[in-house]
Amino acid sequence: MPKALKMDVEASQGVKNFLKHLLESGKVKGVFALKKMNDSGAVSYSLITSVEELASAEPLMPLMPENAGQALSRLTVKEALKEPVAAVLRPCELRAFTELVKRVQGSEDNLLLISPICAGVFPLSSATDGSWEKQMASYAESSREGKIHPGVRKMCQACTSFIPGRADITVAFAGRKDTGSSCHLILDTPRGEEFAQGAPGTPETVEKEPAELAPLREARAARRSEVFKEIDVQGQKGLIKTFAPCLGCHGCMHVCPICHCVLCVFDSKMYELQPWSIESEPESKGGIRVPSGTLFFHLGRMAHMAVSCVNCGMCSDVCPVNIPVSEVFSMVGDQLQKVFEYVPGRDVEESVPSGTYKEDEFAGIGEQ
Amino acid sequence: MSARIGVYVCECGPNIPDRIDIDRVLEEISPLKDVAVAKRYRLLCSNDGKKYLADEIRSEKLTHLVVAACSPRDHEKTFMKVCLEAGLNPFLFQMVNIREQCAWIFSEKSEATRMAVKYIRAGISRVTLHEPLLQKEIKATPDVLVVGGGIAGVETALSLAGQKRRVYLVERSDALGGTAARLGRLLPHQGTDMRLIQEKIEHAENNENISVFKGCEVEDIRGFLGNFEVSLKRSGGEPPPEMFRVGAVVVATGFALWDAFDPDVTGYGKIDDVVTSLEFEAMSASGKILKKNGSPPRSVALIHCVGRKEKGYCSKVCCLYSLKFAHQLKDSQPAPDVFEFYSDLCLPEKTDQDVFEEAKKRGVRFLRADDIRVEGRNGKIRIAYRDGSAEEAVEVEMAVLAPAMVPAPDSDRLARMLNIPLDETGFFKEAHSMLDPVSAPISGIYIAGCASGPKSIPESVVQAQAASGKILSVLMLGKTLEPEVKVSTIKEELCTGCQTCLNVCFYGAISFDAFRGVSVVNEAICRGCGSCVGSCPSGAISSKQFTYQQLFKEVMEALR
Repeated sequence: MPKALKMDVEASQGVKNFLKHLLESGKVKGVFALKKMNDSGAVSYSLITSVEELASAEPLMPLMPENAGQALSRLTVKEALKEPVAAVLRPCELRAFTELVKRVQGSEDNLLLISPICAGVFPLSSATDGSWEKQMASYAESSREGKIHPGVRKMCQACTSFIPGRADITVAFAGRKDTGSSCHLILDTPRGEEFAQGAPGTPETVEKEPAELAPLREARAARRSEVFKEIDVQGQKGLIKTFAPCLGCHGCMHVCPICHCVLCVFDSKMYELQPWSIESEPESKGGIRVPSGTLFFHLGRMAHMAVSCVNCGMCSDVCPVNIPVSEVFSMVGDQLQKVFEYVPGRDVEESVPSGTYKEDEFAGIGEQ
Repeated sequence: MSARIGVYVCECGPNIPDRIDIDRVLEEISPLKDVAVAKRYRLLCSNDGKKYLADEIRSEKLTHLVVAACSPRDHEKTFMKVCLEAGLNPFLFQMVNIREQCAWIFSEKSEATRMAVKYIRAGISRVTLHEPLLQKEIKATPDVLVVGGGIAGVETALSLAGQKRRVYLVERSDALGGTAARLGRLLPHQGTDMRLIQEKIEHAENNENISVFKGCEVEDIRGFLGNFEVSLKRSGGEPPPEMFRVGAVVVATGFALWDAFDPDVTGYGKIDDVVTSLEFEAMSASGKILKKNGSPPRSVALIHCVGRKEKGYCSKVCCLYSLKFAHQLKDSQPAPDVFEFYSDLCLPEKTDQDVFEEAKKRGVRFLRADDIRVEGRNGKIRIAYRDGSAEEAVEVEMAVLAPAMVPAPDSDRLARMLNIPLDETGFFKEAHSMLDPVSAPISGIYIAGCASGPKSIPESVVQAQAASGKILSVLMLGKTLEPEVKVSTIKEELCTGCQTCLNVCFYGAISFDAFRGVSVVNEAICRGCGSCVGSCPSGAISSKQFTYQQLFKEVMEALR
């Protein structure tokens, strides 16, 4: 059983106390976590370097203004961090960051990775109308009970990868009955143990996934099948039905942590209507949609990133016309990842299938 | 100036007009935008045809040329040359294959004609997007680095030095000649004695065109065909002797004997007078095949195939040298009993069979054996084995093991440095094991001798001469190299620096510019295969003459 640090405060405060210790003792020079921007409740990922600023940090606040993997990439893509920084991010965000590091879009050097066993986050709309705050009590309660909170993102409700795979320190949160009055920081790596030395709390050993988490895992898996059942993307007809309301704002792509291109080809002028398609397509189809290429955009994006989709749900959350983008991409991603025996974010050394050359891969497909 | 495209349909004798209505094709093509002329001709690849085409380009003031004829594999180069002679950039030309891809495959003439029109339209629509590309020339040094001073390396060096090439011959040990020079003797029919191998080594040492670096290893190699930069280091760690440039690299690193066998099964290292084949050769070279106690052995077991099962391949030469040992032992007075323990005999050369028959006549006993175990018993060596279902044993005074040949140590380091692959056995992988056996997959790097797998001395010599021939025909004295023109290009403003392209480039043509954070194509190495274009997640890479726009328009017309 892994070592852990037990603290006699609720989880969010426990993490804050731990971060404070790290900053004060000089073990880290900065903390990367969610931070309240003002009294309105707006939060943003921030690099915090003073204990005073840490007071307004909200490391476990159930909101995701941006996938932290993307944010950490912005921080480290040009150059790795030179001083140690503790980063608190959710399991899907950690997976996204891992996928970005594989693509040389960031560096894990000098990062202490802290991630909670995740109970999900509220949609961003609840941040603007403040409704998430009213639900915090019931959120904490259902988290303790190991139940799905009906207010969190649909993909969070259907997420079965809620235990961080490769954090240095895991915060035991969802499904833990004791999180109201105490919490455990599970020290997953020697690095985690090293940073936890001398931190407030009592050493213990705990199970990372105790039996009491099983009902939550089962409930999430059942929810996942339900969500996928609701999706109809069978053939062109299903695809057109699902993506028909798309405005072409490309918001889903801009918030996707895996979409890291400098300029997406679909944002360029390359696929604007071409003279020859104006000539030929109306002839064959009896008319064309303007702007065209809606499906091409979604399928093109899918072909590029679905194998690495981390199911974070950012895309569905920002869609102004409520297309279940994340649900579709997660469903396709699940199947694609199975084919390639690939798990996004599992291992930073595991190469991305689309960038791996194998001479005899899927040789059978061409013969069928 | 607007485009003036000339479209010429070749009849190719009866091949095309028999199956395609050429006049109908011309009728459809002529009115298309920018088509200045559309004509037919009997045989464009003939001398008259080429002259006609060149005259047409000039007189019609063509800006682009489309030839609808045979496969581009047959005559694309022919017509590009015509363009060049007529003053038209040869890359403003497109060949359309209406013979193999239309005339020969459609049974209905009307269908073949309809498809020919589509293909020609596709060719016309892409050719207007072609860019006038320039054939570049790069300077190349004709000098050659040979890594490994065994028989393959020495032969390569001598073959090249004989053609006035400077050769840098680098040998890790303190002597040239490798394993071949350590042999005790050769078989009579091999028609030579050890002095001839020594003479070869002396020739290499004294040749003014060969710089021999003994006790040295390659520290680093960077570059590409015609332009490699090499630095060496001394094995002892002393300062590197020299840096130099070469145009080609020959990997002739040879092999090592497998030594990871189980001492409990082979007795090696545990029982006296159990030796490996190379230890036996050393005894033979010193003229004294003696046991540890100084007396000659009265009986000897020669054990084949040590490690064949574990390694998964046959080492090819062990059967013949074990026969050589048997003859050598039978030559001594008094002649000992000799037992050959084999599972299969590999004697493929035309002279090998006689050596085998002669050994049988001289009383050498051939025992087909499985599960051989070498055991010590009362100062003697007991060879226990299975013959079919029967358990048998023979007692001898000396046992000689024939271990598998395995890749030379550090092959993987050299492979990484040269960016060339090893195969699943750990030997260097050939560009094609059957059709291109002395080339590595990267231009300018060649493999000779046992570096690519077990080989006999004659086979190694053949490979050395083949590699030399390849180099002499590629790097000609005083000539520049003409690299591929249709190479990949990277739009740096779109490149995210993910380096996926580096992983998929088979030729090592892409490198990463860490300062600017973008990938860079070395046009001298790129062969224009397009792997990087397909793999780039950002669409930052395109291939000259296969741009998205060109392909898009071409396919649009073909499918119209």
